[in-house]
Parts: sequence; structure tokens; C-alpha cells
Amino acid sequence: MKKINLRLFITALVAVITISACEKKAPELSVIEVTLATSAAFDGVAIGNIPVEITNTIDNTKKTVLTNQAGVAIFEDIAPSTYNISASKELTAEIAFNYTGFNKAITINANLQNIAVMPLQTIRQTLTLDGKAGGDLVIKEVYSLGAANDGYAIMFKDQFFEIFNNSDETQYLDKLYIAYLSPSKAGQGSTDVPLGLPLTSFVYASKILQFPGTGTQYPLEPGMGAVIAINAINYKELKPLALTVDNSTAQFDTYAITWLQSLGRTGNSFFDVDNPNVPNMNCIYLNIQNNGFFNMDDYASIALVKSGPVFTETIKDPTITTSEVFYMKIPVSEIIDGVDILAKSSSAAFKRLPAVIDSGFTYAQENGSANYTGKSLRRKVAKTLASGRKVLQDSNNSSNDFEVVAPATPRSYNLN
Amino acid sequence: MKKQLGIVGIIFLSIGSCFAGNPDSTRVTDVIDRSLQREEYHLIFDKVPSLLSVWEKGDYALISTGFSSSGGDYVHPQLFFSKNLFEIKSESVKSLPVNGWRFFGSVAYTNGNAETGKWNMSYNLPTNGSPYYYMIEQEGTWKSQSYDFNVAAQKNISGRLSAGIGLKYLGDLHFRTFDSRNDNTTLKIQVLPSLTMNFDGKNYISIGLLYQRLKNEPNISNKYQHGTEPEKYHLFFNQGLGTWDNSPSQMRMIDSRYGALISYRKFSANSSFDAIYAIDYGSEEWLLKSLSTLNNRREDISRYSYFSHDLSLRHRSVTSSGSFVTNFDIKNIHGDGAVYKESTNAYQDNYQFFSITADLDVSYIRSNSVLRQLSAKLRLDNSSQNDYNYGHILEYTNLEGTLSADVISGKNRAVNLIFGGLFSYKMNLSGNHNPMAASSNFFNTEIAIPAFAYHTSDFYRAGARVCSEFDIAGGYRLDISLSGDFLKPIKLNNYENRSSFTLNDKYYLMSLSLCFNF
Amino acid sequence: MNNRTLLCVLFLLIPFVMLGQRYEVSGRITSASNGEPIYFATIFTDGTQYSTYSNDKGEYRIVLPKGEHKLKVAFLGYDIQERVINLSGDIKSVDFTLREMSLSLNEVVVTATSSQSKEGSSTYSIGNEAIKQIQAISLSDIMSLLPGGKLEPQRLTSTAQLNLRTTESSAVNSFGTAIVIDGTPLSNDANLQVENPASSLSGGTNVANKGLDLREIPASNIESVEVVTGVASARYGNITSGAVIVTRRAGYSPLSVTFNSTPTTYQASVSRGLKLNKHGYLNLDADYAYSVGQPTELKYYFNRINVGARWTSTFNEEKNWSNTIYASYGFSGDGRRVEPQEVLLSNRDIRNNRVMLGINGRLNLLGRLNYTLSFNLNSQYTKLEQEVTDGPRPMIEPTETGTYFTTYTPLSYMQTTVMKGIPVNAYLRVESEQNSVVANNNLSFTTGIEYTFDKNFGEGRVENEGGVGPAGLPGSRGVQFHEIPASKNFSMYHQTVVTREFENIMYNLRLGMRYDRMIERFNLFSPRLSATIGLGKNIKIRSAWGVSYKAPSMITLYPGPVYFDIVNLSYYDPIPEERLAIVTSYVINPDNSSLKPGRGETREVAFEFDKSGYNVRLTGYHKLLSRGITSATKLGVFKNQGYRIVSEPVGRPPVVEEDPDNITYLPRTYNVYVNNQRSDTKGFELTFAPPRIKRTNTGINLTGQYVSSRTLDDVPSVRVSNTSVSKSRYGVYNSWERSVQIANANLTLIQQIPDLKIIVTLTTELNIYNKTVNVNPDLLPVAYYDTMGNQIEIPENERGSEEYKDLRLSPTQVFPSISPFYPNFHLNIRKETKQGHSFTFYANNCFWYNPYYTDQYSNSRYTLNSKISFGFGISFKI
Repeated sequence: MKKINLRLFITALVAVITISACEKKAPELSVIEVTLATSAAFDGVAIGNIPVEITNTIDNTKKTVLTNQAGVAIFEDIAPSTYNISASKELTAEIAFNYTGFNKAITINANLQNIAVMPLQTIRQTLTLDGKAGGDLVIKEVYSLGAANDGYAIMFKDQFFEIFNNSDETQYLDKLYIAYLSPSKAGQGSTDVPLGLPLTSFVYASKILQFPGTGTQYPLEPGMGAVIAINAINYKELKPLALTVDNSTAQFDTYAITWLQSLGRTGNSFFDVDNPNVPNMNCIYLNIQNNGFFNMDDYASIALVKSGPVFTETIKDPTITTSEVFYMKIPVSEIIDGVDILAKSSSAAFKRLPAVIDSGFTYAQENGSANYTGKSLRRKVAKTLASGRKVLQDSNNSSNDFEVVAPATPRSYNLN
Repeated sequence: MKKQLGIVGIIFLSIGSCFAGNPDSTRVTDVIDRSLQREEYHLIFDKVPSLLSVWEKGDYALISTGFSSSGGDYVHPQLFFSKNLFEIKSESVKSLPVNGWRFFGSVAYTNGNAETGKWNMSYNLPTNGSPYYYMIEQEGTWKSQSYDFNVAAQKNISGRLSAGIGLKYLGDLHFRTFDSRNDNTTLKIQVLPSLTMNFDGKNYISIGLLYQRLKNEPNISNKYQHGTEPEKYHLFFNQGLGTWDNSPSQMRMIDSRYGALISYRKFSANSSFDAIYAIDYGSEEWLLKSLSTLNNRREDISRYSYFSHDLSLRHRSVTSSGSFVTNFDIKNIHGDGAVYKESTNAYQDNYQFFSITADLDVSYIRSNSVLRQLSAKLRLDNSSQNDYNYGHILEYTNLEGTLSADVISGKNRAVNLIFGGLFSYKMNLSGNHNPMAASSNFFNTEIAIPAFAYHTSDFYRAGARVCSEFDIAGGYRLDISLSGDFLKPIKLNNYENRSSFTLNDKYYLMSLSLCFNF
Repeated sequence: MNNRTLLCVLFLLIPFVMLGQRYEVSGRITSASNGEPIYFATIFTDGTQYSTYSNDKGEYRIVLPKGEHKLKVAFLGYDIQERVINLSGDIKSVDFTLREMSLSLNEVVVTATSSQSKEGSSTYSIGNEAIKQIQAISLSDIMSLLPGGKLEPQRLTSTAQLNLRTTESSAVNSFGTAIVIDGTPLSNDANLQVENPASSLSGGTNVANKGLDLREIPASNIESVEVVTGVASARYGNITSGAVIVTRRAGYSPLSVTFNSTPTTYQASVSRGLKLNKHGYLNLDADYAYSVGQPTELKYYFNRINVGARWTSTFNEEKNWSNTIYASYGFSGDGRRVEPQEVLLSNRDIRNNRVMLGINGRLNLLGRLNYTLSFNLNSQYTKLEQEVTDGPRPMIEPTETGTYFTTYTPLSYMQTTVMKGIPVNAYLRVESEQNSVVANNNLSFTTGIEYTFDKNFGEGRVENEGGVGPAGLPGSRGVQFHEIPASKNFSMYHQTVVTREFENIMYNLRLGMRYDRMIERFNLFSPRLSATIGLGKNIKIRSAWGVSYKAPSMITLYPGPVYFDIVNLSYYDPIPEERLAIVTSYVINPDNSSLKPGRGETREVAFEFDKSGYNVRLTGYHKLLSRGITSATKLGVFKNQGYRIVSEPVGRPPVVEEDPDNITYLPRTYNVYVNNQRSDTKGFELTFAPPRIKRTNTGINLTGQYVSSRTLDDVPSVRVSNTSVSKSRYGVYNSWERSVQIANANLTLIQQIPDLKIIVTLTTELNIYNKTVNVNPDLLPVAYYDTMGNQIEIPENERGSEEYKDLRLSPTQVFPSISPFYPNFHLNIRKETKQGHSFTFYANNCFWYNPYYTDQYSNSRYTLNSKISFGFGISFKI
């Protein structure tokens, strides 16, 4: 009896081994081939030996390959996914001179977003390097993600943004507008829907502030930055462990309660406090009826706008059906500088600025969920002049021009 | 003389139990026989309810309560570093000879807590080979409760035909009580009708069908804001070996499984032989819970379909000095996973799974000698996973051999003591891990490599148990058993410096159970 | 006062009419299992007052009028026996042998049954087996067995209110339902534990101005419950909806330990009934329950401890004097733990202690005299502590109107509210019953007097500091509960029952009148009439009409002052010493003393058919609730005097002066209480129970209801305009009726297998229809408030004009909501072992069926049915 089940066992085991040797599916990987080219203005710039970087927008792994002399970079054994591709090249002042006519260093760059790569497919893409001389006033830093202290103590009351004079003469901030761009949805939630309005000639603002002054009251020296804080209060006073900032020495403060009460609406004394020693920004437009104040969205895109136009035309957000939300239309031609801050690496569809203002976009964390982390987006330094003054990188492409810092660093480049 | 008495005793016992209405569990000699009696139901009759017509282990009823605790660092990196479980169960077999019915019923409730490793947001890892589970880096403290109700009924239709149906209704709840929290509820309903034809009182053929529906709904939320370490609380939905969704929405899962079984039973003079073969097809679908009407996204996001083959051979023979119990099980699962890609609006196959587990155990039970039971077990375990989206392959084959023995002291009915010991050694036969395009993917570095190091490590396990049994007031027969064993890794065959444990870690298990038989 | 006592003694004696022909029935009660005599078993006839107890030798004597009676015998733990006897002379040795209740008996009743009762026109009775079958943890679980009741997963962290015969749960309905335990109606009138009565009475787990919190009443010591939904007998006053009559365990029972667990709640109880040889029985019970809101919740939990003792005995045999003394202590607390990942402290500590002492009994004096005396002492403590992070805010705590110069709170600070209340309730009822026969009519008279005394001796709201209230909302501070006068109710009632039985016709008239002297201000008369015609043995038709009143709760009569804090100047200088905040506080004392009691009027017609096991009852009713207490919004305009900075000295707050041209008027709204809620409810209830299918011992039970109610809060509403971006103002709108229709039914399948001692019930809940409609809503403003707060009428034709476009209400608020038909399924299994232990297993929404539908108006998706929930219970008899 014992012999029977022994033999039985061996036959069963042999059957097992044969079945388990069944075949396994071969890997279905792909290839991406990138060829660099230069725009007409920069025709003739050497395109060899330039690093090209691809970012997998799902598992956020990055790969960098140098282009060969013909400007071609080949990425093998790539997992099928959607990719962002970018490349950039520094031109020294002398080389830049014979292309732009200015004796100023410039970085030319190019990038493509949301390139879908299917299994076992070879994708060919061309990247045209281009660049434009930067403007005089630039947005140096946007700290909108709110303080990180694990207790909702400060939330986003310590938000600020900084405008920097990147030129070599004094600039005046009087009467310039600051627009908070909409929609607030930035691709964080899986059910987020892009705004769907055209960005060619207009951008859409949910809130608009204006610098005070009559014309020459608020000068900004070259290489100096001005901080505009939501509440000019020292939030470090609250909890030492918090990753936050001291806004009490800001150049400008925002306070909406008196302006809203004058319109018969109610302000929000929870979040909006006035520091009498700091001049207030003028309140122009706020699309929330009651309890509103001038806080930025957690993933905030903002734009600096010329002082000329008067804004009147509003448009309704088509993606919100349960209530009516309006935005103010701002002509793209009036924008001095803008930066697009979105949720994560795969949020390209949620850009709020046209490519001519910001051809890329930036984010604090590749996977998103960056609010209340105390992180801030700051523009990189292009070069430091002999006088110690810093010139910031402004290639109108925030994916190359900005970096993530924590905690935020108000007035960090100022020459004191 | 003692031996003959022993044989007469056994015959008397087995005959007595078939006809006597009152349950024989109070008169079974000790824990060994009683656990054989209970295992017999779960090894054979649970799989073929209509076979209850030839159940000859007699009616029994029990209320058992038990506590088990385990812990240690030598464990799969995603699973339990410590686990405690309290269980209370009532189980009984009742025959109504007058109208030809026989019932099995059991109600069980468990309540426990556990500490899991990183990247585990769904308490257990899937058992049907599916790659789908939520994961988050932050370790977790869990509470668990389960409410199980299991009933089988059998009726003799005619002299030769017997029909039976088994119904299982298992509710499992696992809650994560620290951020990020998960209120993970699972309901499994299984229906198993079967028919048995008795040819000549010796040979029985049974056929049966199986329908099982498992619904699982995790509910993941954060109660506090974690700004200082956001990446530890970021939620991922795993879909392969490197394929995952980095901003998943809340989903629920339906796993419906359809199966058929055929079994042959042969009685002979003093032995019985069973062969049961079951084949199931199952498909596990993950469906979006909150579909906003604005963007008509497709509802079912991921789908894993699988086949499972299950062959069980049972052999029981009674000799003069004792009896032989042989069980052989071999189970194979192979399945394919596919993920819905919004960019291409189509399903993309990316995952393949294949596993075989084969168990052979032979036990020799001596009826009236100090050496009460000797048993040897052999377990072969092969698993292979392939995510061809990245060309990432992870496979291993292990073999574990176990020897155990139980000795009994004291012969009188009032109180008897049983001491048992076991020793087993697990050896890794083969292992192959090639991440290919996923080498820098965090799934590979954080999960695949430490898990592979654990699976392909060799360990030995040593354990002991002591059981006692005596009558108590109210007509109950109480048996108490205390057992404990521990595992110690001996050899790390792969990724020595990147495993989640070291050679001097260990893993202990301890359990105490009290069972009131009446 | 003395003429009133004279009046009530006279009132007691009038019905003392000569006694008619009556006969005596006697016999012996023994236990079937061991033949022992059963002491203190109750012998009674259905629907009348005749009842007596067996002595320690098991013998009983009962005197009944001539004619046919259904004699019933009941004792704790035994199956009720009944026998029909036809009296035309004394009968001896009418003996009963009672069998112990167990699942091996056939036809165990596990559902609510419609019963004939003297407590009211339509009543439902729920026995002990039904309570065990649904594994009830608190009284609110038992109420799910009523028609239209819903089996919900047990969760003890939110308050449980009982709503009878209504389409939507409302404070008025649950406040108007009496909970009577062992003869004593529990009172919730003096509960004042409300954090901010000026803004709203709801919030948190306080139940002021609502019904009693049923989660605090354990189910483990309840023997049976009778629920009156129609016209209550004259004995029950101070109600507008109905009454729940709870009888707790009395008699012998072995030591039983039960343990129940569901995903969120654990409950354990111990009970024992001791036989004190000659002196009756002593019942002791203890119950503990712990519950969290969600399984993943660690922070907020609820726990409840109840300990009770009841001593029941016969004092004197010929006087047939039986008496029960009971004492019980109950603690219930909504506590809170600090979670390790929690940074901001928020503390909620609510503790209620309740001591109940009482005595009730009956003896043969003045006919049959019933007496109930009870004393209830509650001590309620509520502490709400919140680490508020919206600083800096002006720091003020004034209690009078005035302008205050103050400084700022730090960025985050602790805001605490502490309330200590000691509501005390005393209750006395004496009632006498006489029976007689006049011209073959059986007459029975019940006359009684009732007195209740409620007062809150607590300190009140003792601590309430930490910054000004949230922007725009009214605050409440510093109320002393013990200063609030007690509320005393005195009532007298009389009920005459005339019954006559012919060959195959019978009639039963019940004429009741109740006089209530409510809170020493109102004299109210509430008639209660009901007539029943019986055609043949099987058909009965009953109609009833009754009026009842409910006194306003103490919190609505004396809510306390309302505070508004307006910030005149906010000067937040970085240097702390130089900061200055100027706040003006306004105090308003609303006068609610003119509140009248709510009035409930019920008309009802019922048809009953009872033949060979088929039992059908169809009741149609019309319930009109008027003068219900609801809140009305008042608008006050407060002057906000602006200030100018004159100079900013160093190290000291700035010098300021009033700025003449910076005066604004800020409108704010607050609540007062008025008798303006009217709700008109029509509906019918059906209970249908066919006999059990003998072969498979399977039973079916159907209960269903259709209810349609039209509710109107006849108070103009004041709302702020919110659509335009320009100036905003307050509009006044007419209120409109809200009409709600619901229809649902419960079909219960009962499968019992006596041989296995197992009973399985599958309840199918059919939510047939649910529709809420605003009846011709008027979205246009009828008036508006100008900046100075004067109300300006808007002429009819201008209301829709462009000028008032910003005041027009948006149609989304008045969309009807219709939910489709959807079922739900619940499984309950109970199994007993030979030794008497038992297991229960239940699954709520056992097939986990969550259908969803998209509301075509709001375009949002609603999921129906709650998530699946389980329960496991085990009870040992030692």
C-alpha cells in the first residue's frame, strides 16, 4: 500500500516539472530617437554633445543621453509610457552676441510634453532649440504650497511671491498688476478636467491685485527683489518645528476686508490680517462673493501684467455646472512675465499660460500631493556679475528656469 | 492482550459512532484523534458536500476559543512584523437519520491587530496571483475582524444518489487605525452544490460545481496633514512589477470565480482512498467608485483573469498497531493582468503569473503506545511573475521538509498529556530576478529586491506543543493545547546586503487554544 | 391649591358604581420540564385590566365578568400560554403547564406583532425572542422592527432618536414621543446642554429640545416593548406622537452572560434573576457598551455603563398586592483620546450620569389601585476644548453691551466651553380601576392623577473664554441653569371602557378625557375616543380620535442672552505692546415666554382580520401637529463706529479717536423660538402575517407603510443675497410647504429548524418610493432690509423686476428630490446549543448591494444603502 502512493507521487511530480516550463512572454520594450535642430535665429549653433533628458511621467524615472555630432540621441529598452523630453544649451555672451545682438549670456532650450510611447515601437521626435532675451522684471519666487507643520496651524496664511529686477536700470512697480491665473484645478485629482478655454490671446484670472503708487513711488534697484505677502506676519513665532517664513518685513501686504465691506460683502477675519507698517496692494478683482481674500491656489500660476489696461470682460468656467464661477480675461500681449506651477510631471494638459510666456511648466513633487510641504519654486541664478549682482535665468521655460527649495527664501538674491 | 483490546476499542468506537445518535466527540480518546476527525471534514467533505452521506466520524459539536501571536523581523518585507489574533468558533456535525439529512455548521469570529511592513495598504497580499493592491510607504497598524458563517447540508435522494450543498459566507474587515487610514471590507460568498453516486457501496463518483463571488472595497483617507514627509503618505495602486498608478482614485474589486469538480472514493477492507480534482476560472476586476458625469471615464480600470487546477489524493488505512493517513495536494494557478491606458483608450496586457504548490504528508498513528504519532511532510513551492511592460522577471522554487512526532503519557481516561515536537528545513532550489527596464523604478529597489532576498533564503523551523484533555462540569470534554515554534534564516542566497532582515533575525509563533467538546 | 385636591378626590370616587355579576376562575401554574410550581406568573386577559399573580404554590384566583375571555399566562423565560374560556359560573382547576422558551419549540415569534392593548388604539408588541434575534444593543435597535423601521448597522457615536409615523425625522416628532420604563415616563425637558443656543440647538451629541437619546437605554434587560403609534389611552400625557412602553425583566432567570461585537461596537451584559424564597424575585443586571464612529477611528468613542436592580414581590395575598421597587444607575460618555499623529489639541468630554429610583405596584383598594412614584437625578457635564489656529483675534469676554479696548490673542490659543447641568425629575401617578356589568355591558373605569416636576439645578455655562466668536455668528455666554424656574405639570384623567359581546357581534367603546395643567400656565383638555366593532370571530373595525399636548422644553423657554461682537478697529503691530483692537459687543435678551404647548390631533380607522393563523391589520390615520416649536430668524443692525489713529507712541497702543465719516451698519441674524410649525401627516400601515408553512416550518411577515406629510414653518425667512458681485443685502421671503411622500415595506422570511435549534430570518427592505417636493415655492423677495435695518415692502409687480435680481433665490434650492425603488437585504441567524448557550450572526446589507442613481436636477450621483456590516453575539447560560 505504501508503494502505491510513492509511485503516484513521483508521476505527479514529473507532471509538475513539465507543465511549469511553459513559455514566458518576451519583454515589449520601445526605442525613442530624438534629433536636435536650432531655430532660424540660432542657425549654426553646434548641436553635438548636448544632454537630452526624458522623464517617464508615470514612474518619474529620468534618463539622459548626449547627442552625437549629428545631434541625434537614441534611448533603447524604454518602458512604454508617456514621456516629457527636454534639452538645453548655454551660450556664452560672446557667442550669444552674434545671434541676439546683445552681449548677454543666454540659454537656448526646447521641450516636448506628453509623448505617448506604445509597446515595441520606435518613436522619432525633433526638438528645435530656441531662446529669447529675458524681460527686465521677472517673477523670482512663488511660495504658494503653504507651511508644513503637520497640524493645519498655519495652512497657507504664510504665502508670498517675489518680483525681481533682472535688468541693470531701476524699474518702477507702481500701477503694475498681479493676476492669479485659473482654474485652481492643476491635474492633482484623477477626476480633474482641464479648463478647455483657448489660451492664444487671453489668459483667465480669478483674482487681480495692483501695486499702489502714482508712478515713481516704489522703485526697484537692479538685482533687488520685492516680496508681496498675503499676511505680513512673522509665522515663525508660532511653532518652531514649522517649515515656514517670517513675512513681517515684506515690501507689500494684502488686506481685503475693508475693500469687501465697502462693496457690502464680508471679508474673512480668520485668514486676513492687516499689518499697518506695510503698504497694502490695491484690490482690483476677487471672484468669491463673501469670506474671500487674496490667497493663491496651492498649485499657483501667476503673471505680472503691464499697468495700461482696465479689465472688464469676464467669462464663466464651463467645467463647473453646480454653481457659477467667473474669471476676468487678461490679454496675453499685456503680460510682462508669468510662471506656470502645476501638480505633477503628467499635468501638461492643465497649463494656464500660453507657450509664448512659459513654454514648459514646473512642479514641486513629481507625484504631486505637495501642498503643506513648505516647498517653494525659485528661479535659478544664470550668473553672478563682478559687482555681486545676480542675473537670473529667464528663457521663458519654467521647467528649466525654476528649482524647488524648502523652506522658502524671501529676498535671497538681494545685494545688501 | 492489550493490543487486541485496543483493536476492539477502535472498532467499537467507529461502529458506535455511526449509529449512536449522541456525539462521540466526548468519547474520542485524545486530541490527536479528535483533530483527525475534524481535519477529515475540511480535507474531504468540505470539498464535496454530497459525500457527507458516507461520513463515518460521528456527530460532534464544539465551542473553541484561541489566541495566537507571532512576530519577528525575518518575514516578507510587506507582511506582518507582529500579529495577534483572538478567535471564537462553534462547529458541529448533526445527523437527522429519521429524514435522511446531515448538516455541518460553523460560526467563527476573530478579532486581532497587526503591524505590517512598508508598501502594504491592503493587509494581505493577493492569494490568487493578482498584482493589484494599494500601497503606501508608511508602515501600518491594523485592526482586523472576521465574521464567518459556513454551512453544508446533505440529503439521501435515493438509495444510491446523494445530493449536497455547501455555502460559505465570510466577512473580513481590516482597518488601518493610523494615517493613512484604510477601512478595507471584503465579502466572500461561495456556493458548492454536488451529487454523489454510490455504485456498489465501495466505489463512489461525485461531481460538483462552484460559484464564488468576492467583493472588496478599500476606503483610504488621511485624517491629519503630513507636510513634513509628504512622499511617505503618497498612495500608489500596484499593477505589476514596476507598473503602477501614482494618483489612483478610490476603487472596488469584484472577483467572480466559476469551477467544476469531480471526485472518486474507494472503500476497501480497512482503507479508503479519495481523489478530488477541481478546475476554476476566475476574473478579478477593479472598478472606479466615483464616476463624475463630466468626463465619462471607463469604469473598469484593471483586470486579472486566472485558471486554477487543484488535485487532492487522500489515503487512510487501519492496521493492527495503528493507522496510516496520507494526503497529497497539488495546486496550480496561472493568470494574466491587463491595465486600461487612457492615452490609447485600450487595455494593455502587462503581467503574467504562474505558481505551483505540491504538498505530501504521511502520518503514522499508533493507538496504544507511548509514541502516539509520527509524520513527515514535503512541500514544493514554485512561483514566477513577469511584467513584460518592463521585461521584469521574478521567479523562485523552494522545497521544505518537516518531521514531527507526538508522545503520550498516561493511559487513563481522566487526564492525558501529549508532547509534540517538529523540525523543518526549507531550501531554495532556484531563483531568477531580472528587473531590465525597471531597474531604477522604486518598486524594484524598495520591494522586489528585499522580497526576492526573503523568498530565496533558507531557514530552519523548530517547534513544540503540549496538549492535555479532561472532562469538566456540564458534560464537556475540554482539550487545551499550547504550541510555539520559531524560524531562523541560515543562508541568504541573493542580495545579502539589500535584504530587509539579517541572519540573526528570527520569527516566532505562539498559540493557545481551548476547545469545549460536547 | 386645596380646592384642586378636593376636586381630584371627588373625581376618583364618582365611578364607584355597584358591582355586577362576576365569577371566579382558579387553578395552578407548573413548569413543564420539572413540574415545579411557578411563583409570580402573571395571569391576565387580553386588552383589559383584569390580571393577578400566582402564589409560591403556583395557585391563582382571578375574578372576571360573564362571557368569553382569552386567558393568558406569562412568566420570564417561558412560552406564553393562552386558553379561551366561556364564563357563566365559577370554574376551578384551570391549570397551565408552561414550557421553557427555546428554539426547539415550534413557531417562535421573532417579529413585531399587532396587539390589542389598553394602552392605545394601534399598538405593536415586541417580545424577548424578537429582541434577541436582531442582536439589539440599545432600545433604538428594537424600534427597527416597527412598520417602516430600517435595520441600520449599530453605531453608538451618534444620538438615536425615535420618529413615529413620519416621513422625515424631526425634533418636534421625537420630542413628542414618550419613553415609559417600568411605568415611569423619562423626561428630557430640563436638558440645557447646548453650546450656543443663540445660533442653533443642534450640534454635537446633545439632545436638548429633542427626544430622549435611545442609545443610552440598554436592550439587555428588556423583557418586552409595546409601542403606541395611534391614539394613546388617557393615561399618557405630554406627548404628540406616541409612546414606547418598556417592561424590564422580572422573575427567575439563571446567570446569563452575553457578548456582542460589530465592526464598530462591543457590548457585554450579565443578568441574574434570584428567587428570594417567600419574598418574590430580585433581578440584577449590568451592561457595558463601547463604540467608535468608524472602525478606523481612534479619537472619538462612546461608552456606556448601566447597572440595575428590580425587586418584585407580593406584599399581601388577599389584597392581591404586587409591588416592584427598582433602582438603576447609568453612565454614558462621549470621550476622546489624543492620537499620536495629532498636533492640534481638540477635546470633547461629555459625561452623563443618571440615577433612577422608583416604585410601582397594584392592589385591590378602591377597585384596583395602581401607583407609580419615581425620582430621576441626571448630572450632565460637557467640556468642548479647541486649539484654535485662526489667531490673531481680538480677546474679549464682556457680558454687557459696550465698546472695549483690548489686545490680541496669540496666533493659536485654547478656546474652551464647559457646561454643568443637573436636571432632576420627580413623577407621581395614582390610578384606580373599577369594573362592573350593567345590562350585559362590561364596564371598566380608570381614573387617575399625575404630577411631574422638572428642574435643572446645574451651574450652567461656567467657562467660555478664548477670543471673539467666529465672524458674523452670534455667541452665547454665562448662563446659570439653576436660576431657570422649574416646570411643573399636574394632570387628571378618566377612561371608561364599555364592551358587549353578542352571538357573533361585539363592540368596545373607549371614552377618555384628560385635563392637563401645563407649566402652571395652560389648562388643556384632551379627549381620547375609540370604538371597535367585531363582526363574527374574525373581523374587527376600529376608529379612534384623540388630542394631546406637549409642553415646550426649558431650553426653548429660556435660551439665554444673544451676543454680537463687532470689530471697530484692528491694529496688529508686530510689537505686542503696540497692538490695539477695539470691539463693540451688543447683548439681546429674546423673550420666548409666550411659547405655547404643541398640539397633536390624530384620527384613525383600522381594519383587522384574524382567522386560522392569518392576521392582517390595515390602519389609515391622519395626524395633525400644530403649534410645533420652530426657530424664526430675526435681523438686527449694529452700528460699527470706525476709529482713526491720532498718534503712535512707542511701546504703547496708538492713541485713537472716533472717525465721524467712517460709520457703517452691519446686519446680523439670530434665532428666536415660535409656535409656527404645522405638519399634516396622512398614511396607512399594514401588517400581514400568514400562518407558518407546517412542512418546512417557514414563516412570512410583511409590514409596510405609506406616509405623506406636508410641513410648513409659517415664518418668513431672512437670507442674504449672494449672486451679484456688487452691494449685498438681506431679503425677506415667504415660506412654503414641503411635501414628502415615502412608501416602504419589510418582507421577513423566517425559517426555523427546531431539530437543529436554529432560526434564520432574511429581511427584505423595500424602499418603494421617496419624493420630496417644495409646494409652489416663492423665489421672489417680498421685502428687503435697507442699510439702517428697516424692512421695506416690495410691491407685487416689482418683485420679479431687474432691480431685485440679486435677491432672487436660485431654483437649485427648490428642486424636488426623488429616489428610485431600491431593496436592501439583512440576514439574522440564531442557534442554540443543548445546554442553552446561543450564537447570533447577522449581516446588514448582506449581499452588499449599493445601487446608485444620478439626480437629474443636481446632476450628482447618490449611492443608496449603507456599506455591509456584520455582527456576532454569543450568550452563555451558567
